[in-house]
Amino acid sequence: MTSGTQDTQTSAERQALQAAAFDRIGERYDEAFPHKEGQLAAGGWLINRLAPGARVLDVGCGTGLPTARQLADAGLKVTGIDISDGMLQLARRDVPDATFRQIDVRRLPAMGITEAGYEAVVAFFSLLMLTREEIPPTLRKLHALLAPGGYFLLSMVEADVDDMPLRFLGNRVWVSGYLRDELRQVVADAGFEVLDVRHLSYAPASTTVPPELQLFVYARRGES
Amino acid sequence: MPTRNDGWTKATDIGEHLGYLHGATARIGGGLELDQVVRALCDTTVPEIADLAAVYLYESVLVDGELPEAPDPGDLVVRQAAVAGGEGWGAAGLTAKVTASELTGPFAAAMARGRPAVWHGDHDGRPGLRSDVDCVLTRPWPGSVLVVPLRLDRLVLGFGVLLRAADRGAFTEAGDAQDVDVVTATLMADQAALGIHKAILYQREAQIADELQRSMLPKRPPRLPGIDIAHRYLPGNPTAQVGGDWFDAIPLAGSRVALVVGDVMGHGVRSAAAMGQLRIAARTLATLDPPPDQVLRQLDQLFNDMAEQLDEHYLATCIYCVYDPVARRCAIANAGHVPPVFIYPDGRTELIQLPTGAPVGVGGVAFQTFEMAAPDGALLAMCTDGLVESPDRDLNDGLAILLDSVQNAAKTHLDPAAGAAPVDAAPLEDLCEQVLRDLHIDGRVDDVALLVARFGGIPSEHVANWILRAHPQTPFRARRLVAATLSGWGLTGQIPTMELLVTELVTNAIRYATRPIAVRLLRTETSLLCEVTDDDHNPPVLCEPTTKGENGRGVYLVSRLARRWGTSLTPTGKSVWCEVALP
Repeated sequence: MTSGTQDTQTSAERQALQAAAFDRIGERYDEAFPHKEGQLAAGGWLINRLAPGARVLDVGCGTGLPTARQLADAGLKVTGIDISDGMLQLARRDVPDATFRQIDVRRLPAMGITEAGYEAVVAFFSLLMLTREEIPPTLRKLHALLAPGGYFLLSMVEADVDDMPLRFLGNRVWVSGYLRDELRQVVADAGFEVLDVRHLSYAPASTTVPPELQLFVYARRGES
Repeated sequence: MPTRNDGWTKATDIGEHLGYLHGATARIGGGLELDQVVRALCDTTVPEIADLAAVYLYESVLVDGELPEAPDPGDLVVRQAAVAGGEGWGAAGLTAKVTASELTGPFAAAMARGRPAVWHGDHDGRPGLRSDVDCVLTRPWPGSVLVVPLRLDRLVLGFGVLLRAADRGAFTEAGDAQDVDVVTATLMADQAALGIHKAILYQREAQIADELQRSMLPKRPPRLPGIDIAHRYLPGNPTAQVGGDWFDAIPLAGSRVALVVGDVMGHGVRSAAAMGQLRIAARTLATLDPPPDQVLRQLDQLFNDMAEQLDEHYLATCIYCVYDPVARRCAIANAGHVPPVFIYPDGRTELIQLPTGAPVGVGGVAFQTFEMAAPDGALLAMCTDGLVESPDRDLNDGLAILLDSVQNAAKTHLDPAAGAAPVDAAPLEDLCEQVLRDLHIDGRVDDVALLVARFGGIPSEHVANWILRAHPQTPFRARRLVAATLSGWGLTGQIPTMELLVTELVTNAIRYATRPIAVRLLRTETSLLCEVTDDDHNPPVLCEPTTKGENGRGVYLVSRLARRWGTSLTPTGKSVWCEVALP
């Protein structure tokens, strides 16, 4: 589990490497993961619960597909953040109705992204790039960004790993994950009210990425 | 222009006679098949020497290609092998077969002495002759008769009967006078006997090559989840002595399968033998699970090593394709082989024109792996050049016909709606038959291999995959995930067994793993598969449990509980899998 490089790299260096990896991956990400039923279902669930014009923060929006586009098309005011400038350029091109900014989720809140400023926060397959140490404080920050009663949607890959190096579409990335019961607990511990945890078997369209079990956490911030 | 005359007995032109003899022996000796040889003997003697000619051979020679063991195999059946001429005489009632022991007169004498015999139809009054002649000539022949034995050293393979009508000069008893026609016919019969021997030997070698070839090819395709496979092998024309085509379907870890079609260049027994070695090498390499280009690279290396050891250099073309029914992808590499044909579920066809590497055995050539989507219901057809290429059809024309044929056959035999598993093998067999018919390969020279796969895929919801840290809690966590998943699949009855199996596999894996392990659960119509992958390369060892120590018990338990189990190497470690049957 532990490797030499891991101990000597700082978290910032790691993050820069991850960002560079996703710059290189770019559009291939959507080619490798063409079916996004679970993510679209979660987006649809959110759209049904929000009024047009509601503010949504898309954490780790990537190329803006499918979520930023789905939410923007439904009349929501979407802000997408990501560490990869390459991905964001694709997002600005493909989803002109949303706003995109290059911000590391761990640096939140940031200028213009303020506490209690969102009716919903979504983080689809992005927090799995953090370490297990970083995930709980990040979840608490996202909780704080939500207006009272706001919704939080989180998707992760079900796995019992922490900061595991992984070859992903020819690039090295580091991922963390939880098993379903643990994930529910981690989200609840960050202050959220967990409404549901759904799971979905998923086969990426690439033999270089293993099939995975996706977990979708449906949660909200209490009214207080 | 052949002419019916009284023969060369009175001919003064020796040059003309020798020219005839030369043409006849060349024709008799030129055939590689027994039928050709005996037919040539009849055809070259009629009408020049006789008006009607027939060849009789021991049945064992004619049917089995076996030489008689003793010079006088009396109880054997002699059978007519060829006949020519005799228009207007109704073939003179020449018998179809006779038992050798029934022959007593000139036929018996000719065979026993190995010398020609002559008599004159009804005018010959010698006692005992009639019955003998009756056996072969069931009606009286009002002319002259010559019997020539087909001799091979001391063995006699049969005889030739040459009949002359009464209006033509009679044959003269050999030895009595210098009857040039009798001597000529004897020479031609000798030539025919040698030709028959050559044909038998040739046929035998082709048969050995064919049997060797067939014995090394899979008889029936494996039944695997998410894919349906059918294949055909047809030997080439035995006289062309080609062979060395092969195909294979090899189950890999993760319910993937490697599909292989190849063709060893060369002839007969040797190329068949080289094919056998190559096929097993490809199978063995496949279980190590390198990417397709690496498999071809290793085979290339193997052929070069063989060339050094055996002083013989082989080349082979080969396609190696790995289908992953979960990802619904194919990874393909090609070593100079005929491109595969892909038929999409909507009927669209595509020739998969990969940048083909050189054939295996050329040495030091790079191969490349290409990935492509393999949607459910799509067909992949891989063949050897014998199917599409022939002396009067070039490769591109053949491929165009193949594309049309597979497209039409798919429409006829496969239900496009039945895309997903389970797939039925029978329609795919029909499809193979139709493709072979459409390509008109009856007169083929080369051998033909055809492998057709229909992709069915394994639905995502039938697969669960987790990556788990290796720590003391891992077996417990894996057990819980398996139980939850099986219960979601409605397979609660399998929970206890699968919990036990996954516990053993995970416990073994975390003992040596230095990185997180992967646990995969996969269900099909008939079975449940559990696979645990770790980063240790050493496969587990099955040993009988002893009272001392607790090592090796896990694998023993797995081998007893599971219907099948096995290990595959992966690029970064190994997978251990086991399978239980579903009721």
